[in-house]
Amino acid sequence: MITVPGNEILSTIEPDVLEAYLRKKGWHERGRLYDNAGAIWRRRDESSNEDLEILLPLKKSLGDYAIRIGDALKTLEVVEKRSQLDILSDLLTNVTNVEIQAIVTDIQVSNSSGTVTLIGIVMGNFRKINIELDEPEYTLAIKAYQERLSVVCSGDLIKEGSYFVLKNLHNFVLVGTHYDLATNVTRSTQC
Amino acid sequence: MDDNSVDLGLAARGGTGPILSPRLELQLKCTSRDVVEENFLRYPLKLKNYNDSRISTLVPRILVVVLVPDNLADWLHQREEELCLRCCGYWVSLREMSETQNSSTVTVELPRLNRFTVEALQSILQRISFGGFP
Repeated sequence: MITVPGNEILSTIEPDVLEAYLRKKGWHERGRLYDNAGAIWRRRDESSNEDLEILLPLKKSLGDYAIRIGDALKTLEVVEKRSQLDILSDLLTNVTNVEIQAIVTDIQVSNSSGTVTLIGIVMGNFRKINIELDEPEYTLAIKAYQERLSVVCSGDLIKEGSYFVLKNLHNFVLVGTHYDLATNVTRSTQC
Repeated sequence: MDDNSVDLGLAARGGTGPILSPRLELQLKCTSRDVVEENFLRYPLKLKNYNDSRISTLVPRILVVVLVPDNLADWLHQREEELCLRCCGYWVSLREMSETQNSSTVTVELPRLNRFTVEALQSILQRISFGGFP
């Protein structure tokens, strides 16, 4: 089970998103470093009465940007007593080219296209994901919903409010059953 | 696991400058004495390591080259009174060094004055604590 986010994901976190998060959690900026390449953030730890420190990278062009974001998450994990993935899911505004396995929980009835709601695991937790589907994926989604099959889909995950939207869809298949649209034949896959 | 040429990361407590916990990242190399000249060591650093060490980073990076005797038997001497470890490290910062046309290694100069001692490390961390560079 993945418990630590990889550098690819860490580098998608914008500095101002982490700044806003730190501010919300009672951290304060204490100064800037190296011509605004980074900032020093502090918070008093009530239990030890010590000052905690995070060095926040401000320029995504820094060679160690992802590593420093990772360091910040490690500190937050200890301070907030919750997993980095949990914290990350609060910070994440989008993830590009992600593959998700999910179940279809809602379909907005339409002619041949519409919005489908899935529930899948994103960043270690079940999340609601909405997708706009056309044919033939829309038919697949209906089948998945009716027959309680899970789907695997790939695209860019973008956070909108309290749920996610999957855009730039480039894959949408049913799991466990290979449904051939051309021949209308259902074959079971060997897993 | 990400190989960014950093072998060791140090975070010190009790920084007296704006940074309470100054950090330093080290790339460590070990070699025998045939790279030593009068004022410098000339160490052939792999291109990838060279580029990873000169990039702009928030936590400063230095290269430390540890010299050891050619003869394995001379590395360590243990007697009742003492344990003698024969090696001396030298350090250099490659920050802002220029891009190279080399394809496999870059010869890096480490000044012999830059001995990597406890005092040297302490003053490097102090400079970092005040927002400076090694």
